[in-house]
Amino acid sequence: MSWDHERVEELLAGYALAGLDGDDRGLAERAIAEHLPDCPRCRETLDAFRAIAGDLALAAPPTTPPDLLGSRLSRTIAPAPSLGARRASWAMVGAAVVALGLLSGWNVMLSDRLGDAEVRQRWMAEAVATLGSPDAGVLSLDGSVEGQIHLLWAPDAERMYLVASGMSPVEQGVYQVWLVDDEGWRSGGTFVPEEGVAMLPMDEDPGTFQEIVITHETSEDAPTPSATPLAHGTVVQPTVAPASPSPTPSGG
Amino acid sequence: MAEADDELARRLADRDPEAFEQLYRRYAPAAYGVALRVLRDPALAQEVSAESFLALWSAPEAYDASRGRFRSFFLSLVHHRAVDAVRREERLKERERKVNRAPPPDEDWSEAVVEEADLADRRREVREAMAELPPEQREALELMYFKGYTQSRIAEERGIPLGTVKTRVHAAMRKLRERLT
Repeated sequence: MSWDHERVEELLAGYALAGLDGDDRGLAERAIAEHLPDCPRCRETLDAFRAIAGDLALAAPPTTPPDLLGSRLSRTIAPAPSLGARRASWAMVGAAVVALGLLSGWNVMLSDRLGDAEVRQRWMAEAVATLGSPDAGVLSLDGSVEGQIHLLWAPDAERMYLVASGMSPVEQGVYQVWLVDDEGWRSGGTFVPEEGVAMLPMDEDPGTFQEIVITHETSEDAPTPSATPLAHGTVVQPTVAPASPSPTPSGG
Repeated sequence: MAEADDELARRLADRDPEAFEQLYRRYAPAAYGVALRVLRDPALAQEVSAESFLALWSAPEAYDASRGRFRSFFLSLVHHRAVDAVRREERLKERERKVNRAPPPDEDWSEAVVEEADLADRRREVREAMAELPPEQREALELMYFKGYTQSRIAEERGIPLGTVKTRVHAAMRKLRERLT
């Protein structure tokens, strides 16, 4: 097939801008594969159009990204910590125990009102057992939310637990937990603090996500976060085969 | 003086987190800005930005300094991923509802962003060059670049021949090439 430079240039303009589809896209790819290797002029044109396509991004207003993006990236590229660091620190365990203590009070206080004391006590027992595991993980979430939020897990536990204390009540809607991985965001459940405290068991494996985020949503069925994150924490996955399957809590 | 992009890109091949951080600080507002402009959804824009930076970290050899500037290479990478994402999203019929719930994406937050002088200069040049384009050429370019439309979709939505769209886009790119390279 003989190629006309003008026609190729027109194709390359649309190609560089990711604006081709159907036959035109196939034709552009064919021109790049068949014609450009022997045509310095069209190669130069493609490089120039690609450069322009990159710089056109600057026509959009520069926008400071959320802090979450930088912290997520820096933790993702961080080298794997030593095995010892993957265990929950005493400070973190202490914080989680404080939260569990608050929950115990909440459990007693609300049991009569809600009539589900048995379920709550089972959750409490499971959460305490989780913390007792030698490979327990505790992640303290950071953010603008009032109070403390901890995520507890252990490799041999069936579930992980979100424990919150000292939180502000929500007048409308719920707090929603989001789990973030390379595929995007998925809901980990919702909760409404009662007397400032809450516990949310999740049938999730902390090895399947990198970030946990809390937002306030006006409805329980939000498919993606519609509000600014109130709290977040990053779970650093080991980049080498670990001796223990427990991921690393890495602060907020 | 700030370290040159090419030197930082070279250090990425040695898995240097500090080089990555410098490139992040330099280009995150531009990357997130264009992703937000295309996607109009902060969560998706954050995802696309994260994917783009991680792609850079995972395969720094994809940048070939002999083919152009790092800035153009990386922002083009972000833009392509944003366009792919907006097209995926459009296939989901809930797009409009989510747009309505998201914060206004085109708020001018640029005052809060401090950019290095050469990047700010280039931004001004690009905006001036865009402003000098004839309106119909600028519109075609903006629909394609910032809304992720294909040429055939522009023709369909504007009720004009596909050939006319191609001619406008080609003419616009030629003018920008003359003005910016």
